[in-house]
Amino acid sequence: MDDDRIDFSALDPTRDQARFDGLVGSIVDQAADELDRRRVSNSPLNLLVQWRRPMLAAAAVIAIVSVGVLLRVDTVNNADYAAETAGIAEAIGVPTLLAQGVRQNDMPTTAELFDAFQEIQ
Amino acid sequence: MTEVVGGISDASLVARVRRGHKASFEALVRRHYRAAYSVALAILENGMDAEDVCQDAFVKALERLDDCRDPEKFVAWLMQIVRNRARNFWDYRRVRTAQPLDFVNVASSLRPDRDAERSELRGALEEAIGQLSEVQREVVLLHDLEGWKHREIGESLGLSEGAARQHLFAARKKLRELLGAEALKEQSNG
Repeated sequence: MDDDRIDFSALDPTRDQARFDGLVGSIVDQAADELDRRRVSNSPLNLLVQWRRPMLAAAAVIAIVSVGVLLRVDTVNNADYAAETAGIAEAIGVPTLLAQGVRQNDMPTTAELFDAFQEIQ
Repeated sequence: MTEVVGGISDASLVARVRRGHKASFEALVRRHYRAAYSVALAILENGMDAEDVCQDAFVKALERLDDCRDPEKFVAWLMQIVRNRARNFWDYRRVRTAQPLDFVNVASSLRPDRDAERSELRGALEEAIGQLSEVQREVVLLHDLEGWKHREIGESLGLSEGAARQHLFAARKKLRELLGAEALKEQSNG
């Protein structure tokens, strides 16, 4: 079927090389501003500036999430630690009354101390 | 329709042009100018208008290059821009900023006899293809002028490969009737 090809070479815009170069040059000249804009907007400094705002936003989100997680972990650890130390105190024979007093940071009264020692003996 | 010429694919060139690489843009223009011209000529039936539309379409394509989601199919995307720009040509004419192609006249004036002959042939061909339907014009120009395959033409125009063949056959038959075998032979010798 290609043998039947119509010869359109008279219409071929690339046939006259000098003329075609002129056509291409004209297009490239017209595109110069847009190419310059693209070159500038893709420079490393410009990319850094473009990324500044999203990076700051991401950093803020990470900071908020991190603080939340740290606070939660701290609370959970304190509760675990209190339960753990209460268990140890009783295991080594410290009276429950004293152990509770230490955990709650309450000084026992003299009567309570006396009762506690009575309990040990 | 992925073009890989000289080891650089369209997709690679598009990526470079997105960063403002002038030589890559020029390479894309050189690579696809004739196809763009064929599409524009098929719609406008006038070579000079087709050249203006091509110039405009390549610049518009550059401005909208970030919209080209699949750079592997850059040609199909570009041809759609050419089609749209050609169809809007008359509305667009009043605002176009195309540089006057003075260099064309300078180059042509160097060989007046040959240029006159070529101009006559161009006129006859343009008149003849004007008798075809728009689809036939695009198919025959993309195939016989640009050298696209039926599959590529079908993809570009949203036709089956078989339909592209049929349009090509009908277009050639009509052109031969209009121009005569002698005229076509004369052109091929010219």
